[in-house]
Amino acid sequence: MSSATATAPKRMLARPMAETGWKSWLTTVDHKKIGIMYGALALFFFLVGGLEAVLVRLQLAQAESTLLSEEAYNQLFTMHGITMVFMVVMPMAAAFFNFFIPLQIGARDVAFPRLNAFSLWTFLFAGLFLYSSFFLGGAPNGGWFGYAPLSTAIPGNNMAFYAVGLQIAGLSSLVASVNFLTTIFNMRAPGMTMMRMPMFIWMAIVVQFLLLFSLPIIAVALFELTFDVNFSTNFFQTASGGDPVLWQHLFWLFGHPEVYILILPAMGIVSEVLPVFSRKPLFGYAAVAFAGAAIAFMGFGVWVHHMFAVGLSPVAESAFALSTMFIAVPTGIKIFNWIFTMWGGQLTFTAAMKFAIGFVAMFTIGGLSGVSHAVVPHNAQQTDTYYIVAHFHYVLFGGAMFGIVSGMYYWWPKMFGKMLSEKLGSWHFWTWFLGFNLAFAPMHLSGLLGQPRRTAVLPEELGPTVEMYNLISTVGALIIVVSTMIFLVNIFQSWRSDEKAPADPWDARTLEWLTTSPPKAHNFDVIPTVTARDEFWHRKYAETEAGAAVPIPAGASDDHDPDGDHGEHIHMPHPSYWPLFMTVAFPILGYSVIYRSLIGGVIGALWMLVGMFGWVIEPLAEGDDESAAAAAH
Amino acid sequence: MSDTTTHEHHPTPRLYVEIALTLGVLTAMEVSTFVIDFAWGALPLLIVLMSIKFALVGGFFMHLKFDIRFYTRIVATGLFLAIGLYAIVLTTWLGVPGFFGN
Amino acid sequence: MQVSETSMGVDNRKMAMWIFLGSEFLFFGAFISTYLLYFDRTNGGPGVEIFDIPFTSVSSFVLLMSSLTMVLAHHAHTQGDMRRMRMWTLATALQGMVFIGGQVYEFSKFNLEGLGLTTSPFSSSFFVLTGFHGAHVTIGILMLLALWWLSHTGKVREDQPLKTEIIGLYWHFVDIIWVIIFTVVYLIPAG
Repeated sequence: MSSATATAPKRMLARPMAETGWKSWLTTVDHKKIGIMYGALALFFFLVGGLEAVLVRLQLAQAESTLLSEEAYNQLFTMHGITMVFMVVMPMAAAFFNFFIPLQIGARDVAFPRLNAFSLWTFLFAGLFLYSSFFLGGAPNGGWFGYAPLSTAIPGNNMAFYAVGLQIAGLSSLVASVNFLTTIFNMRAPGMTMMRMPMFIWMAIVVQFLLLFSLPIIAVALFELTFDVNFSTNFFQTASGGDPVLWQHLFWLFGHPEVYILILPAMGIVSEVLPVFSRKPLFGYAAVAFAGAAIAFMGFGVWVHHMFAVGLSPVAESAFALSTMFIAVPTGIKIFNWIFTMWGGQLTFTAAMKFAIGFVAMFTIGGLSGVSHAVVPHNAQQTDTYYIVAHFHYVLFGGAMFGIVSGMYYWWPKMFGKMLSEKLGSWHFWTWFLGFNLAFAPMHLSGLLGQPRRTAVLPEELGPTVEMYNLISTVGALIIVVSTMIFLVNIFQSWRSDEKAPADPWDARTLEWLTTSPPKAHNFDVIPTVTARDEFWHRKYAETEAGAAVPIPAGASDDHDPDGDHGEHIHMPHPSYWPLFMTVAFPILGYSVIYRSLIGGVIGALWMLVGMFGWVIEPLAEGDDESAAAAAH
Repeated sequence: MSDTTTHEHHPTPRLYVEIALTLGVLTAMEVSTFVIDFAWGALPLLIVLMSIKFALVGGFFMHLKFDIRFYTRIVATGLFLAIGLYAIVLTTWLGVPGFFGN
Repeated sequence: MQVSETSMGVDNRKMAMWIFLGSEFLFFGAFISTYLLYFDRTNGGPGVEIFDIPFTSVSSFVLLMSSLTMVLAHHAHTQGDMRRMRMWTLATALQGMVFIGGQVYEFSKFNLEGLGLTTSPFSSSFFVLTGFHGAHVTIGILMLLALWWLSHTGKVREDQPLKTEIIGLYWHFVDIIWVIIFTVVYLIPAG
């Protein structure tokens, strides 16, 4: 289509049609561009969240430090947690889901392209809204878990920003989960049965179900918190009979599935990377898929293990201790299958592979400390100490972040048509690995020696050993900073480089490598017909009787349509400004709630209505008369 | 645009009206618990009546009985997950000291 | 995509609505559970004796019957009878408005009798639960009115009964939630 913006004269505001230029990014409904924007924003928030962590670490490097005020410290550790969970790991996963789900299942886009853009902009506004609090009286300061009644009693709007900001963020992911589930279940290429899907897609399904069923619970918790803070209701007010433990239940009913939401995408990525760089199929595909589903299902049944110090009955605690221990089983299944994948394979230690192997090792360590939390009496010792901080950083940084970075090195050529430097990647890996372990390993020890969490000042009475551990952690954090800078340099040089990446630089196994690097707007010239798992690999290689892979000469391993027009006839959805328009209503509504403005609330609600109406009457592509049926071919 | 569902038993308006009348009768029975004392029987009766109404609206008005099983499974998952999780939450407040609840 | 070419043979939009409705059970379930925890924590204010069961029974019946008119609207649409479709759609919206009107009256009366949003955990959980349900009904009414209007302008055509069906699914769901709320919030505690 031409990039003119003046089209049908009857319309007040013409439909944006441009596919290039910076404005086209604001109106795009292309899953690949949306994915890139998620990734870029997540990377930015990673730097911000990292800065918050560095400040925390500088404060804790010395006992009785007065570098930061307690108020500042509380805001920093709270925002560090919120940022890393909601603004970094989840959107990073969303970036990969967006870019690669359609490609890996052989589709041209997701089921609802405009809704996809809506999720992106909602996420952006949630982040901006949360961070605006720094300039509007102070950022959330009651911990990322916002325990009531403290969260309802802290003076100021800090926790109101927390409640409303997270609510907006949750909506983004809930909507995306509906989108992705519909896409995966209903838009797979011909022949792609569930058991032929890449493992990344299986993990994507599981994660979307976790989001679908857990986000509504925290939505309710946050509404109840917002109402207590802003409208004087009595959900968590003990004076009138409210019970703060209700908050904990509702929060952790979401919060525990949330941690699986955080780790499963990385597990999916690692399940893609290890086979490619071992030149072997994933070992025990069915077991790995089933284990992922089992983790999700059981993940709904363990939340009380975050509440072992609340004073619930021994029966309840025992039941949840057992369920928590059991969840280690499917996790262990996955770890063994990853190891068996590598065993006997022809290993290539690319940067992606290093990070993937690092994931397996670091996540195992984090998982082991996690199992120790399940032992209720020992939990009483560990809770609210740095031992817990060590655990979740091993699984979230050593796990999720290593996995995500592995995905970035692996998929970078496909996304951008450029390679990342393997040499810089290796430096990145080793400094990251060193810094990470220096930062978090000592926390196991300082925690067991009694260092409390969420405490601005490191108490002198914990002694010089604990202080030394903290100093080591701070040094580790600073090494992570250096490592991240190496990564940024790698990204920068890749962007500046003229060297184009090939379609299939890694000799990989799945359908996304069939497309160009980066893929064309319509992804595939010809939608592939799938006859096997690792379809792309089977187009390139046949197996000898001995099981060796033999290249097939002139195999159908590229996406070409010899008599065709290279996709000229393919009818993709057109850009739209309605998703972005509609999401502007969220900050309007958000600030109206916080500043108790009825008129603002009315404006926000009307804005949403107008946005929804405009969206609904706009066809997916101009000239269509049926909004969804034209989701292209 | 239209589903490729099995429409052999597509309900007729007559069936819909019959179901609506049944729902009305069930509602009247529910409300009767307010006037008639069923003692301990009221609670299970109400739950059963509520469930029947739920199944009728879901199965016929929402067409679940005739659509792909995927829809029923998704909704059943949400429903049973909700009932299960929230039931567990509420039992932690039951007062059987030392054994269960606080 | 043509429905016949999709992996499960169904329209994306209908599948999406069902997936969304599955999540809504978790949403309303949390509010209902909060209510079940708090229904006897009245902070010295009114308790469940304040309910007017006969009145609420009538408005519940109205909402229930609106599901009938909704399904008749869809049926008419499948027959291509847009006149009847519009009639039944409007009837559904009107019954929804009667329901909401009943709630507004009921809540105002409770307020005057000393049960406000901030009175007690019981009152907070009652009003927020029924309030969110009412908000869902209101959104449903707006969708029905939009459907009615757009079928006039030709945006919703006679060969597109799926659009009515999907709005119907949402409407029936909201009705089902009320079936649960009426029993669990009103009838069981008051009995």
